[in-house]
Amino acid sequence: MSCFILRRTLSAGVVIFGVVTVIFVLSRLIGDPIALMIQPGMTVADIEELRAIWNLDAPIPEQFIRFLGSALTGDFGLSIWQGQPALGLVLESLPATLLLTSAALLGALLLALVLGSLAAIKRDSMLDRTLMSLTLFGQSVPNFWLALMLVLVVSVHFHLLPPAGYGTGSHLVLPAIALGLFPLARLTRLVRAELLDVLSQDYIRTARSKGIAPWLILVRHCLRNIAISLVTVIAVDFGTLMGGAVVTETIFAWPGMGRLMIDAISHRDFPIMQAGAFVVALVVVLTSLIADITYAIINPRIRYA
Amino acid sequence: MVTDTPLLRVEGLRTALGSDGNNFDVVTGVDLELREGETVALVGESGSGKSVTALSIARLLGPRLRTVAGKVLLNGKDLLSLSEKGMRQLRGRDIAVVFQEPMTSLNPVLRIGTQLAESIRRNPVAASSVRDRAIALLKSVGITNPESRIDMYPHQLSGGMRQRVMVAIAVAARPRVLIADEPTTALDVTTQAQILDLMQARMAEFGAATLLITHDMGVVARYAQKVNVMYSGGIVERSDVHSLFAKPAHPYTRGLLNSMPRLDRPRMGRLSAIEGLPPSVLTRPKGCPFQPRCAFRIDKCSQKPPLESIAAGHEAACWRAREIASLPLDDQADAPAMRSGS
Ligand SMILES: Nc1ncnc2c1ncn2[C@@H]1O[C@H](COP(=O)(O)OP(=O)(O)OP(=O)(O)O)[C@@H](O)[C@H]1O
Ligand SMILES: [Mg+2]
Repeated sequence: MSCFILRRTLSAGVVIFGVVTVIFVLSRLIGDPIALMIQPGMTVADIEELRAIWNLDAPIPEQFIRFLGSALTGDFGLSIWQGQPALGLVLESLPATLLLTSAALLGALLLALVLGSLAAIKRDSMLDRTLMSLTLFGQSVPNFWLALMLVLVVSVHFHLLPPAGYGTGSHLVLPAIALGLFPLARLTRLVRAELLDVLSQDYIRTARSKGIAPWLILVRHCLRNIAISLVTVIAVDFGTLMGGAVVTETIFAWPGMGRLMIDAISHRDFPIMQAGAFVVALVVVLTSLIADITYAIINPRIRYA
Repeated sequence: MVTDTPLLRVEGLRTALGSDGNNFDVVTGVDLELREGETVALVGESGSGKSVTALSIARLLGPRLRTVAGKVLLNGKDLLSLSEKGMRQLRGRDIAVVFQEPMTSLNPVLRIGTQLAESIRRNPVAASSVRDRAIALLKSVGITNPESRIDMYPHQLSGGMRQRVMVAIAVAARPRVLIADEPTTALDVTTQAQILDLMQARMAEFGAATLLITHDMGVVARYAQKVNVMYSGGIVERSDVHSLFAKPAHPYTRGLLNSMPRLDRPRMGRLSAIEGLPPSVLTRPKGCPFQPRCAFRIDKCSQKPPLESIAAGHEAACWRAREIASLPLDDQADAPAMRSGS
């Protein structure tokens, strides 16, 4: 077990280092942030002084080493645009993003379990075929288009839910749907496929031979086996959703990391970008760690191995 | 107490492969009878349709197979005409199955105790006593240390242990009919005998009937009172155990008996297994399905022989059944003939 933790920690470290390095390089490629700050009447000396504040006067390798050194102590520097510690700004916007992605994924998962099970149990029926066509649709609709359509129909036309903003449950509904439709479609197909596989296993026949209720067979004998294959997929989806949240948050003015990052990119605010990348990488790594532990807990075959 | 009306009676059971128009019969019209307290064997080579017959009776066939004709009467009630819900209420308590595959027939993510409790709860029982009953059941099928084994997962048990658990699950709700599909295949002889003894003891306790599926004539001789010999989807011989072993009337049964190693006869170089392979459901010959492998074949065999009585309690589906039944059972006599005939 301790070997497992050590291995996971090491690989997590490598992943986070890699992500942070890539972002460091990319943020230098998108242009000079200071160029956006130049005001009429500034002298060359003023500009050089600004550069020095963010170490931009040093050679790139040196900048990188210094960046790593302070990052290790949790210091990602000051936001160029907002002048506050970058990590603090990122962490402030993290809960909103986590709320949105968790709501989207949880809703998608619960609905996918119901719809996927229905489709598998009523295999090849009208219901199954309709659901499968809908999931194809759901997987091919672009996230931003769906978001705009939801705003247009639900908010602008029928005035059912607020078109944008943050704070109450009703604000969460539309962005969560916009973000959750893709994983819903994907997970529904996955649940259906996994359930069909499990239903054809010998142990389901044994369960049926006992004469126990069909819902008990589904819940006790099938879902647990399906969960084993779902856990890993869900962890990956969670990371993907954090990426997808960028667009959704922008459209719905959701005060999360996605919007913060978009603003940071347009202002070439590299400390925010770097801190953001670090936090996202950390969340993704933690998610996959939690997934591995959950996997070990629900799968008795590896717990004792 | 053996009553006259059978507890389970199968009539003209036909089960076919494929759900559309062009079906292939896997079970070609099987009749069986099981009386209270009786153990009836169903024997035959691999692929003869024993498992499909068993699954058809319990209505547990997979999606590719379908029973297309026949009746399965349990106490006079036709199981094949029941709703799925009605059938479910009978499973476990009235009719239970021990499956052939011990390695895959237990759910890998549930503890043994959980899987056993599901059967125990088919009869009214206080929640507090379920665990004790489960432990007692595990003990009764010869599992040592049941108090700790009950909390284990299937992968932590050996094949023999799992097969014992399967037996425990099947007898847990005290079924009136038990279908045991090769409950001991792939186990060593000692374990095999032990499990079968325990299973028989449990069934005798509550006077239930057992349909024992096997391809081992030794098992038949020891545990069954009546035998049905199955070949290529149909019953070719049916008899009480004594006359079947003394006077086998179907060439296929003779072949099965001759392929048994015997201590009371001189050794013959090699065991005479039946030459050739049984036909697949797709290439079954017209007439008698055994004729391509049969040493006693005559022209008439291109017509299918019916299952006919040749003596009291003894039926066979062979045109030369009476003649063959009177031959001495001697592998020297018909084994070479079989070889040259193939
Ligand atoms: N689900 C299935 N799909 C297709 N064919 C099947 C299926 N189940 C059985 N069969 C075919 O039906 C025939 C009878 O199979 P069955 O399993 O009943 O044989 P068996 O007598 O039980 O043999 P064994 O001693 O090996 O268990 C075989 O030819 C087999 O290939
Ligand atoms: Mg079989």
